[in-house]
Amino acid sequence: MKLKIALFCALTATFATSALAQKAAEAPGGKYAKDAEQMFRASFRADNPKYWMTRLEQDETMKTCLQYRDNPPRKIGEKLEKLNAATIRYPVDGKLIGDWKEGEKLAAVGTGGHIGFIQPDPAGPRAWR
Amino acid sequence: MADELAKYREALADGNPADLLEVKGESLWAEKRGPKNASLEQCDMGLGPGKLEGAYASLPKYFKDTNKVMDVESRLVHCMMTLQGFTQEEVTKNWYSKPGKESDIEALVTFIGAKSNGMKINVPATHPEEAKMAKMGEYIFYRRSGPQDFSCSICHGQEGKRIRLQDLGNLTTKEGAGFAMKTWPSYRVSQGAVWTMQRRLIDCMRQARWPEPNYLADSIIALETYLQKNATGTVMETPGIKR
Repeated sequence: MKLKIALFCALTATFATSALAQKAAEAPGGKYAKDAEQMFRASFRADNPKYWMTRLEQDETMKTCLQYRDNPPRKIGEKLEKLNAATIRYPVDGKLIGDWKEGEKLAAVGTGGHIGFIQPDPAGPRAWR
Repeated sequence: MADELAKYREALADGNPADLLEVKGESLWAEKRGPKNASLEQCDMGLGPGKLEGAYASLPKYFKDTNKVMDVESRLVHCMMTLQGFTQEEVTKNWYSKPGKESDIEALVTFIGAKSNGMKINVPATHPEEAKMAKMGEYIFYRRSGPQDFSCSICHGQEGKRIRLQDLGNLTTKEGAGFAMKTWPSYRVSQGAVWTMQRRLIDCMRQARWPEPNYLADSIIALETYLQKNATGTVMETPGIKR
């Protein structure tokens, strides 16, 4: 019982101090955040296909996490967790495990989903950097 | 395992192929080239014309003549255009090397970098334009997007993270940023080439599954300013060598 109380106190203390720390830290970019967003978007090659460029879009969760340096206050964090959990869809056919051989292929390389004009790494166990 | 990696790195450091590139960069620097048949010896990398000792370690910085914060690569390209008369396209066509295609920029940056070896990184970003660039770099560092929900900070914003066996530095601290920044430009054994910081960061964006930035883009220079500011005070060990 004593241990439980001690644990509880330690946890509350951690939350309290991290909440304070979050208040103290300003959002990244400070007063230049808007300028920075504009500059970032203007920095990409004009010949990037449109669908590549959609990868720069941010949803509310991404925007909020940026604001709090990936460490939002618990209340906001819980909201985001619920919001995102609600978007999870199970496979319609009810099969939860797919083709594991295909999965293994994906796991063996680190380059899935890479885009860009510079030649991506060849697939294989050393394709990481 | 980390010890084994350290041993591997130590073994690599004995005879760095980047040394050859440094020598090539040195002769490129002094050679009269381009439509104006001029060398780069009057190039001002921030400490005055031709003054290269410690220049790399104090970049990016604000330059009055261009009214821009420039990194080593954008400043070098500027010099090759203004002093030697090359067009930007000519200079940046081979900004990184490919098998069978060497890059003058890689050689020159390796040479300029080596002139800061043993010196402290010194980017306090006190000029308002530099301070702004560092802040914008910070914004980009934490900005999340893409199919994997990545930002720089996802991998480099905490202590004790790794990808497979590779330790990931916490680039928000002096120690982490210093460890990362002090060894560039660096010879990449797995790539068989020297990588500049622009190449490194543009590749980070590739790994984040984002589209490809322009070479010398302001967003890359902003990230460099942010990282060099965090790393300020760390002693340079360049050219580096990595797996």
